[in-house]
Amino acid sequence: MTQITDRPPAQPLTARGRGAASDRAFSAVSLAAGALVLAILVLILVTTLREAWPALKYAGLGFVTSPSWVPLEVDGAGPVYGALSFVYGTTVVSIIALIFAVPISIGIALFLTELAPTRLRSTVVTVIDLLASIPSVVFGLWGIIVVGPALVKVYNGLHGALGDIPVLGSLFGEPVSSGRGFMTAGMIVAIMIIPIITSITREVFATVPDADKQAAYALGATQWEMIRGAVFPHSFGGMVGAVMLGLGRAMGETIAVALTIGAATQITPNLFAAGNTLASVIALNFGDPGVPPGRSALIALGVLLFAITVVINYAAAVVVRRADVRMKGASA
Amino acid sequence: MTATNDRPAVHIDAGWRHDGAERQPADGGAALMELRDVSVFYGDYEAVRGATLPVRQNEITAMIGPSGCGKSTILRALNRMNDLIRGARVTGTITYLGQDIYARDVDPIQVRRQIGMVFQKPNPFPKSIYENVAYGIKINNIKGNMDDMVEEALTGAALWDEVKDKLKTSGMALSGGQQQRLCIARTIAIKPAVILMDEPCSALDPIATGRIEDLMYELCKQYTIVIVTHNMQQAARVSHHTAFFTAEVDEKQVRHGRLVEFGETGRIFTNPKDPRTEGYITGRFG
Ligand SMILES: Nc1ncnc2c1ncn2[C@@H]1O[C@H](COP(=O)(O)OP(=O)(O)OP(=O)(O)O)[C@@H](O)[C@H]1O
Ligand SMILES: [Mg+2]
Repeated sequence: MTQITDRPPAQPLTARGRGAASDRAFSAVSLAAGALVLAILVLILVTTLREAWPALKYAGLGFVTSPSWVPLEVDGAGPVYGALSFVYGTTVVSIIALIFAVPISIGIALFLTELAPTRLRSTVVTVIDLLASIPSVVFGLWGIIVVGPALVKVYNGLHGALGDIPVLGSLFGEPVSSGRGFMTAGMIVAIMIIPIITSITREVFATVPDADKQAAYALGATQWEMIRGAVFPHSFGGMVGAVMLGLGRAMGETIAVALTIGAATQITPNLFAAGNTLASVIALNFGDPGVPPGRSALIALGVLLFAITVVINYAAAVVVRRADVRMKGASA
Repeated sequence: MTATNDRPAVHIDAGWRHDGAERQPADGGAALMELRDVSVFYGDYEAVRGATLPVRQNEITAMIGPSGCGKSTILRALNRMNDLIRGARVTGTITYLGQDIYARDVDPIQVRRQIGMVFQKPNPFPKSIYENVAYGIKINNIKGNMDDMVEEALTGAALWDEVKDKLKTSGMALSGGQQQRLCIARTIAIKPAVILMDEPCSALDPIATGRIEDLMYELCKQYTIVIVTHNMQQAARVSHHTAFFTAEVDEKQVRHGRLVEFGETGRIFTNPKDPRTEGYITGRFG
């Protein structure tokens, strides 16, 4: 063995070197960034809550339990602020959006990671990214002008075919003539959230170790069996995360929904009926909020939407953590 | 372990199913698989050139040789795992029970259902211990009581006693040696005829290695095993026959893996015919 002559001289092992300083700087910067995000969040919550307070005080518990929203004085009676029908609308539109978007997105992501030849892959990715860059107002207008009118015929057909089935038939009631309603809004939102769910699930699928896939193949798995046995269990947390991001976007989508949902305050099982969501009702009425505290009531709807989003995301995080412990052990 | 004469059948054409098929009982030492002049290419690169050797039934066949000589490559060719590598190609013939596994009408999925594989790095699925074993049983449509089959496989892999109280916990929460036995359990749960093992102990300590070796010895009564190992003591301890590979430079200065010598393990280690084998096992190179 040759003698090493150019080894750097020994340094003290205490944490005063160059590396430690940069580490400290790094952790300070990331701490500050994290704190900033939190501060902004708290600030938004505090200021909106303050603005929402008069309406919340006025409406009381009725704000979340009443389905009627009358921002005017009628025959001497004061305005009524009940958000329930908007919560219902938000829920229905989001569920419709997820029902369409999740399977399509996962299908596209699987196609891209497991099946597509490289050249096709980049084309599909570009197209989907392009979809993400379309402004939501354009989606909304497209919904009004093209999708809604086109779907009315389909809705009518479904209503005719399925409308008489007991219970289930009530979902397929009489459509609005313009085609605007929960279903159209939900489908427009589905198209809008497909890019985000696709791109995240694609990233997640791409991280599945080859070893896991080979293990499945070595047991005689077909490609689909491999996907079910190796790709999905490994990706569960990430898939839930992707769906949650899509859901957050669906619940918060404002202008596209406002344009396509038909703006009606009602709770009905009829998926083809007009409705409103928390976000769309704010957008549609903020210019003319009615008698005081109408403006405050609209802001209170925003606070409610925010609260629901936080709760859902927290619940999802708990589900993911539990599932990860079950599937990958406590260390994961 | 219970007798395994309900093992997969002789034919490996695409439509084959387990149902009702019976394999001949062990006929001690007959070649279950045969490699004739097998070369494996990755694109244009010929990683292994012209290997010819038998894999005898109910025996452990060891493949040894220096790193990069193509042991894993040959092993993967035996159950068509190479199909999953883009550009990989096999020439020559590899037969299983007389049938060319690369024939046009052979379904690689059926090949892998009868020729299983255990990998170097333990790779349990991110699922419970139970689900890890049940997965192969499910996808292979094997009929019977699932709990019993899972228990039988885990027992066969000498893991049952350690995990019987925590079947619902994740397979990834086990120790490395336990994980590797879980992978073996998962493989034997579908009762393949052949188990290919690529350095199954290289991530394990000597005690865990010893347990796997004992297990292999137990398993070879009912399975045919091919093991790639860097550990020559291991090859000498567990195997019946040994194939020694090395990498050689050809006239165009390209390195190819070559089979140097194949024979009964005792003979290979005590009385190698080829000086290259002798050099390797006595530690003079490689
Ligand atoms: N997927 C691949 N694509 C291209 N070349 C490969 C691939 N896998 C292996 N090779 C090449 O084939 C040759 C044999 O590799 P192989 O992995 O079979 O060696 P090995 O004997 O198993 O080595 P080790 O003992 O280090 O595992 C090497 O030169 C390697 O670079
Ligand atoms: Mg190898």
